[in-house]
Amino acid sequence: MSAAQPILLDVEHLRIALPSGGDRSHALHDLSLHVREGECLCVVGESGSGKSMLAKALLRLLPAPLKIEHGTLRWRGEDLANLDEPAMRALRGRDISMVFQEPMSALNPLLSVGRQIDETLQAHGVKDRAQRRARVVELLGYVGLPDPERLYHAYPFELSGGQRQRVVIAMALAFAPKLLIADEPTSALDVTTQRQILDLLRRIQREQGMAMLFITHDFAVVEAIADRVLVLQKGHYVEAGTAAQVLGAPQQDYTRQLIAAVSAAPDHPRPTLAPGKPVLQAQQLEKHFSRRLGWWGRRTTRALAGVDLQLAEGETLGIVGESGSGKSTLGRCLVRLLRSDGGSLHWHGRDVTDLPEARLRGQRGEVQMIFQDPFASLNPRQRIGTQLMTGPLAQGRSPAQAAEKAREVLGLVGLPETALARYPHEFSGGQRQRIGIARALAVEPKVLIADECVSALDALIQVQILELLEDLQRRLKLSIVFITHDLRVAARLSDRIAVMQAGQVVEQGATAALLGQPNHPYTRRLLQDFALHAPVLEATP
Amino acid sequence: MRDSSVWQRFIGQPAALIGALFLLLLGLLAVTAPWLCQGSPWEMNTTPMLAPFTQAGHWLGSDMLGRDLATGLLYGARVSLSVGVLATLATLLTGLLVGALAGYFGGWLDAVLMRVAEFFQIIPQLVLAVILVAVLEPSLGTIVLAIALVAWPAVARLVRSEFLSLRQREFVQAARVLGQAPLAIVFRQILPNALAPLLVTLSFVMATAILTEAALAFLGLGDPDAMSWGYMINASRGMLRDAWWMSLMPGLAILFCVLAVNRVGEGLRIAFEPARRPGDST
Amino acid sequence: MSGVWFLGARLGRALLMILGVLVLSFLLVRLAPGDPAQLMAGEAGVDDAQYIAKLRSEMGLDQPLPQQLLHYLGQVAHLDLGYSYRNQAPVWDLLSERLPATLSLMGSAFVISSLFGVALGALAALSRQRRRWLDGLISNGALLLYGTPPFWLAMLLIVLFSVKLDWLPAFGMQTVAADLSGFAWLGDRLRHLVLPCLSLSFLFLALYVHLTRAATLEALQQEHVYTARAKGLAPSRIVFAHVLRNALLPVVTFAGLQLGQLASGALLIEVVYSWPGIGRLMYDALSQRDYSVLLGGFLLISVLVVGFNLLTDLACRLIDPRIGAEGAAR
Repeated sequence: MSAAQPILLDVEHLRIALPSGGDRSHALHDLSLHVREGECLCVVGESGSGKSMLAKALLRLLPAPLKIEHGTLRWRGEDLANLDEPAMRALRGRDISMVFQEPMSALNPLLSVGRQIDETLQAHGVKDRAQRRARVVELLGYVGLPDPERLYHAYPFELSGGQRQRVVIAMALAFAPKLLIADEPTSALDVTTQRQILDLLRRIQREQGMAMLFITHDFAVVEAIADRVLVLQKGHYVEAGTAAQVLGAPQQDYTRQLIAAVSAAPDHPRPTLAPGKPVLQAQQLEKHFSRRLGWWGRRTTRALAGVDLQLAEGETLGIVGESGSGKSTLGRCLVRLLRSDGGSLHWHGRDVTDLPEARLRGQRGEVQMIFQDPFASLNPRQRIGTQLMTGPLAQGRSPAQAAEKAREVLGLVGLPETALARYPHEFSGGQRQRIGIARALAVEPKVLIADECVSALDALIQVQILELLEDLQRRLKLSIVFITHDLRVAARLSDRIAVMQAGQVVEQGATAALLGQPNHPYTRRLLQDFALHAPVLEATP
Repeated sequence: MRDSSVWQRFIGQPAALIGALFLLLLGLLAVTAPWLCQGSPWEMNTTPMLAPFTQAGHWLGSDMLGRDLATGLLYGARVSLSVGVLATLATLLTGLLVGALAGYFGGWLDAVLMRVAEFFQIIPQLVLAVILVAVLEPSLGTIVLAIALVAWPAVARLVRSEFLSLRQREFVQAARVLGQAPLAIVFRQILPNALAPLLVTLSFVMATAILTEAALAFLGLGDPDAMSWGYMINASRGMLRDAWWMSLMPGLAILFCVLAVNRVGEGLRIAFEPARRPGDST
Repeated sequence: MSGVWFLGARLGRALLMILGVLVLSFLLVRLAPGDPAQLMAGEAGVDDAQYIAKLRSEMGLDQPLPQQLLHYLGQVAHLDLGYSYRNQAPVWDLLSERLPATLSLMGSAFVISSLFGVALGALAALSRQRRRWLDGLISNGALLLYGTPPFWLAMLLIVLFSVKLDWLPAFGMQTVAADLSGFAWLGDRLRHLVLPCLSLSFLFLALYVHLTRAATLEALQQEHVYTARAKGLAPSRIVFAHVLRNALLPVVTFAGLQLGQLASGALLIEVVYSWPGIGRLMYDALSQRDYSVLLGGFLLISVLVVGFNLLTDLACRLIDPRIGAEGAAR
């Protein structure tokens, strides 16, 4: 987009104050930016960077305790502060539209999707019902939804995540807005759908000449869609420029770190592995779940349909799959949280497939799990020290030994001893995940199953945790099964990768080989969807 | 404030604190009633229909049979509080048992138990209690039984849902993976987290128990040996024209009691709410 | 599940509950200490040996329990709810005579408490931002009403409106022996209805206020309300279509469950006001331990409650399309 295009949105020295008592005084400090007609500006930052507040402030929809302390917002030259509420309302949904992160919660579950688009048209003055209906059907078709006539009457819960997001986009396009504010619209979707939605948004931008203010935390998305980039950290401006400038030659360290965080290249070369017996082996694992339907009738889903896996000592095996692939079920079966319905499982050569719980308990120390949600995986009512001691005590150590172990593992994950007396809510997400890792290490396991353990964390914290895991692996000679939906994280960390789809492993092999020459069509498709950053993927040493 | 304990958060709320103190005071008065008052509340020891504040020794007046109202109120507190506490305990035991069974075993047992619970919640509870007490003849035991019989579904449903949700929580799963024994998991992981909503529900059960006992006594189904507040209100029914204050005081007593229990429950709910980190959502 | 399936399943559930009520009332008599026949005869009939013998054979007390139950179920199906020795009339006649009075009381109280309760509750939640005092007033008022024993409140209302101010009558359903017709008759009936209806409404008003307020507050926090604002919808549209509509669901569910309590409350109110309904009948039967009337009343009221509960269940389905739908991931 040439720089000669007129400026649509002009923000100058915006400062948003937060209510007192928080850990920050302001959501945004003195931010200035502008968006020209037809261009896409990506605002990048981690959580706490203030990027969401920016979006809300633009439409004057800041939650009540926050306010704009200072600064001007100009839309097409006119100061938005001069507009009264009815004028502002006329602007919203018509000239400036917004698309949100969670399509399920953004839509009213009790109204049909057609009705929800219809009401936007109605609110902005389209009186004729037939005209409105025609426009709704047209919009639904434009965003790529099949059978728009029928879909008009569908309810949100009947649609998939990607379809719902298309509906939200259709809603936003009702009056061909000049600016679309997109607040993390793809973060809640799986990678294939992400790709599709980004393609859709790009197409719309091109065809309608619409400008976009795209907010995200993921530099991979920035690469795919941005004309210009603005980086925020804790409410402060870090740097800005064209996409080529910021991505190719970042000026600030923070930006460099953020870009490096999405690379699929491992930081250190992976050591070669000594051959040996597998520490973990699964053969033809099967698992079904059945749900009761009404009074009689069951629906059975096959979560695992015959999975073969092996983990060698000191190895990291990455298991990659989208939601519904069965990877979480596999993780839980490997750690014997679930009993498989078929096949066999061996820990260190010992058959633990059907071992009764009571007999298994003594051996549980060998294989441990790190969970996904740092907020749910710690008991909110117990002190950290008590939680760290749970494992050793359960494995028969004395309280004194358990306490000593707790101190030791806390040090291993880089947290101070004062943490022992504290409660989980006093720690950040990244710190809680470290505590989760410490808890697993307290029983001296040989195998760690990490189930999406970095998915809920910010990019830079993710990197820290991954580095911690690698470090621990080297020091303690751990073997790790790393379950994730994110192919680049798996590529960065794993010696071998297994790709899962619909309860089966469709392909597995050494990381470089798998990524370089994928055999299975599904693997190829995954690579394509993640090839948002193919150049980065190739930078393997 | 963030790092304050549950206890501190509780006493930081004026309404809850006042409620708790009121109940403690009432309990104290109830327990010491035999020493504070002269004689039993059934004793007709003074002029009938005495207005309050008109005679020393009978500060709250007397009813139409010459019984001292203040004594009646204090003895009534004994009834209300004891029924409240006993019925709540009985409800807790039943509800805990049923809810735990349903939540733990699941399957058809769960479905059947929940249908039964729903049944007892839908049918008119006071009417059932009335008939039950009538059939079994009124006494403290039958009243407690009747109240527990209609109140247990609420507790059972709560225990069951807490059981079901907590069992799936990752920290409980982590405890299993670490090798913690099932009983230890129940007592150290699940119950402490289920305690909060349970206590809150129990406070509502107690409030309802007090109101139900009063209603039963009003209808003449109270414990015949006990001077209950409900009985006093019933007794004053014929005197509305001439001595309306007779009905006022026992009613106020019930009202304050229920309010106090309610505020304590609300205070517990807020005190147990997990501390939130400020600025958690930008 | 399609609509018909849903209706069928709910109907089946309702019938099962009614069966449960029948079994319960059957058991209550049999399990009580003493001779069931004497129990059913009540204090009035217990001396009449002939009557007791007749009862005994009618109840089939010499037969095994399951057979007694079937016999009982058959009787109920024919609307034979027993005989009241004291009143010298079949129980069903006594009940059906008084049913309209109870229904008019419960119905009017339900309408008033739900309408005003929901409106006030929603108002309280919506006022929290700009007019906090209004929210405080309504919530605390509701709290006060909740803790008030309904029969006591009824008596206080009598003291105020009847004794002191003499505006409204405090006894019965109509002025006895007055020969009124047309509008005068209607007016008289309405005047008698006011205090009982208000007394019964107040408790449920409090419950509806509390519930609607909580549900509305929760609905206000939902993301889709934010979307609606970002679309530029008018505030009134947002409140009605996006907030209240979503808040209504738990309220309607609650309404169904509360009917049992409404019936119980009606019993107490009828006693205070000598309102000639089923509750009053049952109260009179209490002192005489006339169990046939008591159980008959319990049965009738429970059936009404279950039936109404079914209606609210169906109403829920109309409001929320997710209920009973197969693909729903709730």
